[in-house]
Amino acid sequence: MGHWSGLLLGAALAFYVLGVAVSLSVLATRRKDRVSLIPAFTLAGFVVHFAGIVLKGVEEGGVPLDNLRGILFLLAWAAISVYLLAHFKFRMEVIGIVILPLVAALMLITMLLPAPGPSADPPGIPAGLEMAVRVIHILPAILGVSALFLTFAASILYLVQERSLKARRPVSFFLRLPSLERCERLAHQSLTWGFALLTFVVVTGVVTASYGPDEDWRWILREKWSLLAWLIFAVVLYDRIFSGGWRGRKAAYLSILGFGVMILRMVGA
Amino acid sequence: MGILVIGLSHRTAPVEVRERMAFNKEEVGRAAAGLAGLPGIEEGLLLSTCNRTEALIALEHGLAAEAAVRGVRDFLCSARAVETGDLDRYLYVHHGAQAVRHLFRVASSLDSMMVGEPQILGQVKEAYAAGASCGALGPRLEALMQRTFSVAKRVRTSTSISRNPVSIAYAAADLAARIFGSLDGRTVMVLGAGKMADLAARHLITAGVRKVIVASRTFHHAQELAARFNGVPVTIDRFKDHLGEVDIVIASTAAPHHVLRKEDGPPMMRERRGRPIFIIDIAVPRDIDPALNKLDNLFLYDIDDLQRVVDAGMEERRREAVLAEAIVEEEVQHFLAQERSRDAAPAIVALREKLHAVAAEELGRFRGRLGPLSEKQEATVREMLSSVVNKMLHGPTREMKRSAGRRGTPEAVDLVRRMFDLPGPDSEPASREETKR
Repeated sequence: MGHWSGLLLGAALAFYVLGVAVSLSVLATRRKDRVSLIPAFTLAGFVVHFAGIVLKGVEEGGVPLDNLRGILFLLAWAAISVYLLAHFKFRMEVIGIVILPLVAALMLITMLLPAPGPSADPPGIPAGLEMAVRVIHILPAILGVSALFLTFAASILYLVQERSLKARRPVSFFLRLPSLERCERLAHQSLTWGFALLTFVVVTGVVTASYGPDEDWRWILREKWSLLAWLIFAVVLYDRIFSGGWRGRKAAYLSILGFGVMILRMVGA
Repeated sequence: MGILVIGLSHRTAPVEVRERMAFNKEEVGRAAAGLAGLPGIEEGLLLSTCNRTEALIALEHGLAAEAAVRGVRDFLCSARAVETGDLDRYLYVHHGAQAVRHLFRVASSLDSMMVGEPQILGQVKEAYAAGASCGALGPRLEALMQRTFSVAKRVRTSTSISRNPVSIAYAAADLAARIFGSLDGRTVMVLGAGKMADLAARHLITAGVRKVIVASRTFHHAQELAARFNGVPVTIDRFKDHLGEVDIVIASTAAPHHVLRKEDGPPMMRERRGRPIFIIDIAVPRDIDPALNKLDNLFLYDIDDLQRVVDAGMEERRREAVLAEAIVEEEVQHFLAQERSRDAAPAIVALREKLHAVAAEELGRFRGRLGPLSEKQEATVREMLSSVVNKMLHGPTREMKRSAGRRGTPEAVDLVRRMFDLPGPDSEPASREETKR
């Protein structure tokens, strides 16, 4: 990683960490007037982050999609844009409190990853196809997972709200959580998008693998975690569409699980 | 600063006195103009709500407050045809910083009977608009009122003081909103035709619920209540047929047993395809089997649960009020500091002018003795004098500004005024007087 892009990405991480710090201080001191600082820091980080990614591309001479770090930086950025969209479009301020720490952690892990090692894509792809494969395989993957960040956050908020209502113990009134209905709708919409994109990714993955010299099905083993996550999301959506209109608690738990599996696969754990 | 609040409120006066001293909307503006026209008073404003009647005035510079206070009291009494002696024991007077603090607290709903109630800010704004339209406001009250509005807004947005449910009916509507978000177009079913059910249903309708189904043991009671809400009456033995379509159930029948039992739950939720349902059981003995709360997407609250929500809301309001008081105090100090540095500014200007004038005068006196000077030399001498004066001014100016920004009386400002025989703070605003008249 070049010196300057590294600096910018570090600055972006610093802004996100500041956002997390503000969230924590809001939760601890109950001073609501600081809440507006969270999107402000995030927005600053978002801009610097983008500049960092562009600069990294320039330094490395190409779209920064050919190694895990580049992909993860782009994923973190996409997740932040989805959060900002949710914040400014749906006015769901609290979402930041869930998404920001996650993105900050993702950035940190990415920075601690060893410098670009062997390329992450399936071996044996014809050279001419390489760029096309990246675009049609990795870009939708990034978009899909960033939509799933929203599913994750909405599911967490759903569970917090649901638990407190169920316990009949009034939740803290100082930060308004979105209603169950709203969390549910947001989770469902984002999951629909995320799932559609992931399905596309799986299909292109299969096609890519069939180009490889080893025409066995070893890729299934390599991608077992992605497939597991895909299956979990499929169950959630099936449940919502065919057996009931409302997903509820179990679906929220499943979505969180699916997201966890997905993220672990992306970071390569 | 010369700002005073004179008035009475629910803290000092019983309702018989408050109602006599209340001014209606039309009278408030005229009364403000009347206040501003009293001798010794430059600007005035009258705030009148069911819980308080208060005059806010800005004194003419340098005048003592006592006469003005008496004037305001007599004015209020004659406007309401009350004996002055009768009113004295209910009246309070706040001066300067206290008056600012009082006004900020009133507008932020910290001095209200029900702390956090949201109407008061609107009433303060109305009083301000009435006073402004009658020309009773000047620059000082104008600045103070604008600050008051922003303080009240800050208190409201940075604390949740006005957001917590304080009644059972409000708590029910609030919980419903946590489940469904907007209540627009939702359907509520009322079981039994009790007074509490009626009240809770009313609250939900205000919050946007459109369709009401009323079920009662005696069908004509159901019809009566349904007619009031423009709803649909059903007999009590048929109410389960409608559970699939309603979002909220308010139960308050006099039945001695559960009207909705545990085994009714699963088929009901199946029919609802899992959509959430909010059941409020305010009957004693309870109408709904508490075991139903174990079902997913079913939220059951009995009367004690609601009372707990209300208690927590009150507790939360008290906690938030502490935060709000801190914000108000911070803003009061900020406002006072600004006022004080505004007081220091004319003194600083006067000091500068005075010293520069001395330098110019002395140069005029000694210029003859210097003999012919070139233009450049002449300019250098002037520059030197001005530079000496500015250097000497530097320290005192800094000290005056610093002293003005601090709490308490700005000692350095007063000291410099006395030492250099500068005009006092009260004879200063000649230009302001002119623009006003």
